Amino acid sequence: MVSSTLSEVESVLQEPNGSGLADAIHGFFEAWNNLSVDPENGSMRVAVVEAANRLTETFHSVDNALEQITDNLNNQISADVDKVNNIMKRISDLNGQIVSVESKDVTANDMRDERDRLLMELSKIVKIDAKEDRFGSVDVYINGTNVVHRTEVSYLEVVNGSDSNDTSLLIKIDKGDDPLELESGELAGIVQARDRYMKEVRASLDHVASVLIDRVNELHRQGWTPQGSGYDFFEGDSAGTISVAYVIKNNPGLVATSYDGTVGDNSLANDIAALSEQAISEDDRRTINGLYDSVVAVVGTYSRTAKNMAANQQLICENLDTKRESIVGVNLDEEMVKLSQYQQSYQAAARMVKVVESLIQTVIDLPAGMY
Amino acid sequence: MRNIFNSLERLTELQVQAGSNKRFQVPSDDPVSVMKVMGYKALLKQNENFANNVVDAGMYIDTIDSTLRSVKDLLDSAKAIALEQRSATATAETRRVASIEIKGMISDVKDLLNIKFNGKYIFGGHRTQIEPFQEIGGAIRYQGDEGSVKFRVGPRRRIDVTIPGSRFLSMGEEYVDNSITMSPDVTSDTLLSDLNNGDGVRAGRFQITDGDGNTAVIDTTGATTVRDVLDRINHSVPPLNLIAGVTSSGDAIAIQSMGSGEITVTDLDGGSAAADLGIAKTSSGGLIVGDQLNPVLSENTKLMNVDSLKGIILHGINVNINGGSYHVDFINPSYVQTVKDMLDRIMEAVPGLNAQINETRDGIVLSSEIPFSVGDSGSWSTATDLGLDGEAISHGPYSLFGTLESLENALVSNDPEALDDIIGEIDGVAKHLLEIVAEVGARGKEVEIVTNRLEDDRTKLQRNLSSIEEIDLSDVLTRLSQAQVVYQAALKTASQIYQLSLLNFS
Repeated sequence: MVSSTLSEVESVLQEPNGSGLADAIHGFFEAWNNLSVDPENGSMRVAVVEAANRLTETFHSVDNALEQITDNLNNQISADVDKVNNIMKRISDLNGQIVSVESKDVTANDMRDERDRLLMELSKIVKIDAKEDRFGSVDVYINGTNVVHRTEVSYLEVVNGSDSNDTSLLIKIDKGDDPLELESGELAGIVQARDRYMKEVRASLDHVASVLIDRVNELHRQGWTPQGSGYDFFEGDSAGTISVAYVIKNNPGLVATSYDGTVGDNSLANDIAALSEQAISEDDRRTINGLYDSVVAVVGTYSRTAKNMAANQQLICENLDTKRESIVGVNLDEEMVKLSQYQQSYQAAARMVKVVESLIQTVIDLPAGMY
Repeated sequence: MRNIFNSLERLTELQVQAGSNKRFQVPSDDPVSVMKVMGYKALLKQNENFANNVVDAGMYIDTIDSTLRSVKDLLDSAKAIALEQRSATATAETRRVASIEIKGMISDVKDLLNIKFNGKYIFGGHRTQIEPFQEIGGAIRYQGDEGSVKFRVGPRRRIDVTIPGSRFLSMGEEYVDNSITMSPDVTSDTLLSDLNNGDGVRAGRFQITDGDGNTAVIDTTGATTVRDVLDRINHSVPPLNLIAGVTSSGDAIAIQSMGSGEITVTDLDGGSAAADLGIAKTSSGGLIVGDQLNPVLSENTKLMNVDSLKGIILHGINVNINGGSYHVDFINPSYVQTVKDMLDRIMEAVPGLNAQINETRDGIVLSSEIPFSVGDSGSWSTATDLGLDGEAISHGPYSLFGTLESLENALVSNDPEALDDIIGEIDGVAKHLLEIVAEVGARGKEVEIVTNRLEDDRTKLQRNLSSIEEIDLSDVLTRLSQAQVVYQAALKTASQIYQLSLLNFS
């Protein structure tokens, strides 16, 4: 689940071959560069605003897509929890039936098979412990909490995150206080994908956006145009909220290129264009693009690790499955041999019946005066 | 069964690689390389921007260069006219006609400097949208500012692509001339060309007869220093019984014969090498002391060989310029040995100050475009010793248009005496114009260097990028066919195994 989520994130980022954020950031600074050699040209200002719009839209669409993935994960959590509750309900029903049937000294094999199958299905979703008591009913534990006890079930439920900004869902057991910390299983994978990877990716994208906003604004605020000065270039503070300042969007004439408002002075435009080549701070020597590149690299690394782990797990599971099959399952050849043995015994028995029948017939057919 | 899926996956991956010519499609294919690729792509993008800018910069600089050269040509013609009209043959009428010509030239220069390139007036500073030179009240006035437009051609490199027109308005300089004549001694290292007040020594052959009656011919061709000449005399063929050297007072060459007879030095072939060396003489006393050779100051002249500085320790001088006070230390980190050492030390210590040997080559001159003064440092009298103390005298500033306008006025008012000064002014303006041309030329060189650098960088980046990003097609195709074989094998074995079943036998 983690692996497929990260793959989804990768395709949202569209790197390194598509036209993703890296491209949009380049485009933005290229527009500033072009403006810097031609600050008198009004259309260059328009081009800067257009490139900036494209950049902010790309940020938004990546952010939206990431949010969509988070939403899907949340939906999946709800669906999985429903499934868990359903299965637990059926296990508890079967517990009741098995106990009642077996109290009459009859083994309820079919029902037990069905319950085993349900337990297996359940264990795919959450990590469970199951214990059978002496009456034949199975108790199920999740994280040490008894969730199925004979015919009683403590259902899982999803609740919204504690604070209002937290849109993520928490899983609790039957209105318990503490959210359930799941270790493994599909559900744990979804929660991990959401709470660890998605949060981290979104936070680092927000960081890229905020660094860009701050660095550009810091310079642009010092700029003068014949129409005014002191304007921020960007508004917002995150990937989801970044946008070109409203006044500038409506009046590209406010895109400043100089520190003193002289038409041909391009020093500010030069400085803003140069941001793309400069370290973002004393402590962090990466460029803005470099910062984003590391987001991509981190996603790639996580995704690769997750894929490898998933592949390994798959292999282990398959080996275990083979073993289980070798114990629980049947050998087709053996069964075939047995089948033909039984078939032949049956044929032999049938022949025997036939002999007896023909004997009886012979008796019946004896002429009447023979007694 | 898993084997079949595995080899199918591998097959698909290779097919995608072969189809896209890219080694990876998503970051997780190879996160480290993907990051490198993105880094290279960013650098390529920057390189592209810089390359575009530097092409533009080159065009601006070429335009400035050719404009300034045309202005220089006009200035030269103006000077020619001024010289012509100062001469005795000129009359009030010719001056009147010439004044009209000059008026036309002023307008031509104005038009030249009002050139608009790519929508910018390139001589208007940052005020690129108004004509920088306009005729207001009968005179040309500058309407621009002192800014200069810079283009980015590297992460930390910006090239000036305009020249503010204000630089044509105050083309003057300030200088302190050395007021004490600095006459150096003749040493064996002195260049022949520096002798005789810089007139030098003409190469040629001369004949020496020593006190014993031996005669040898000396050829100075190819000799560059005094030592070369002395060596040729002292190691002549046939050998002479005499020694040639520099006099102890260091101002001439002396020849001492060992024999008792008369010694004679005579130029041959109608040449004048010996005469230039001051030794074309006859002496009965066995000693020829040559005439004074008066060498001029050169960069290699040792300060201890300069008459006025003998026995003086040069400690240092103080220079006040542009609101700052600078101390030039002649002792630390090492004592200045030659004139060049001293000039370099001064220029290193004081920004905006130029130090060089003066035109008559008998002293040094400090100059700058802004006022400055030189004084002694502490209790030492070095500035006084060097004759450099005092306020800088200003020459100019001359204005390009002001000079031409006063030329026009002098011609109109038929004032030949004024022309002398004006011709000097024109020379000053021309000199500064050439300095600006040289500066622009240096920028042109920089553009060339940067262009080549960017080109090299681009090639390297692209090579790196493709070595990481692109597949080796032949390799991938080989592996593709291998993977195909493996997949087919897996399928075949699988199908054969699954065929084996008892069901088929019953």
